[in-house]
Amino acid sequence: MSHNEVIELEVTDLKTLSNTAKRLGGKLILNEKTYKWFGRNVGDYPLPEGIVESDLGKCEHKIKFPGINYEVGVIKSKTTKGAYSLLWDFFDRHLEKKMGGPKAISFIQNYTMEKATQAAMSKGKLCRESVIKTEQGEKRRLVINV
Amino acid sequence: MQKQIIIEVDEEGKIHFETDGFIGEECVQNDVVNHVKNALGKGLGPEFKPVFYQTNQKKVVHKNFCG
Repeated sequence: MSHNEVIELEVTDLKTLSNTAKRLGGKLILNEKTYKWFGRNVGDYPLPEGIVESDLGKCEHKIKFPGINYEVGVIKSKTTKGAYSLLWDFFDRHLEKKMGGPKAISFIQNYTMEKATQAAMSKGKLCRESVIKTEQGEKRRLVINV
Repeated sequence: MQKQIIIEVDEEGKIHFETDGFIGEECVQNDVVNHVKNALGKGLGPEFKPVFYQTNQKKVVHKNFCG
């Protein structure tokens, strides 16, 4: 069983990606050409658009979380030159939980916060981040004093 | 009034970008606002959908990850 997905996130900055991994307790490992997943596509879940079977398990870099077997592959974007996409197998329930579900919402939220914070700080501005619990889960808010 | 940029990422990964405390077109011309908006716009998905722009004090842009 494998459930491979590309996260709806276009990564243009590896520093932001590294900081996002750290926020979630993981680590970006550069120049690792394979990432761990189920290892075999049994056809029980459609492949992400633009991804072929031979792409699975191959990457440029990867994100590893301690104590979690499967990993997140950082691959070259199929649509934007110089950018990266994130390919992963969310069949690993521990990784799925860490990332914030099959759509990796927690990862996307943290990446956005990190990206905006870095942009604000590069202009010398202070930021205040908060997590807001809602009936649907949680959302993240960043307030930048201009 | 304190000028602020308020960014929220909701439970579906959708970004809400809002400025507050600006008057008129000030927010459109503000260097920090444009810098942060560009940082998010370049790296976070292919779609950038302006829902509405208010001419006074508040500007909101929504971006949907899931298209």
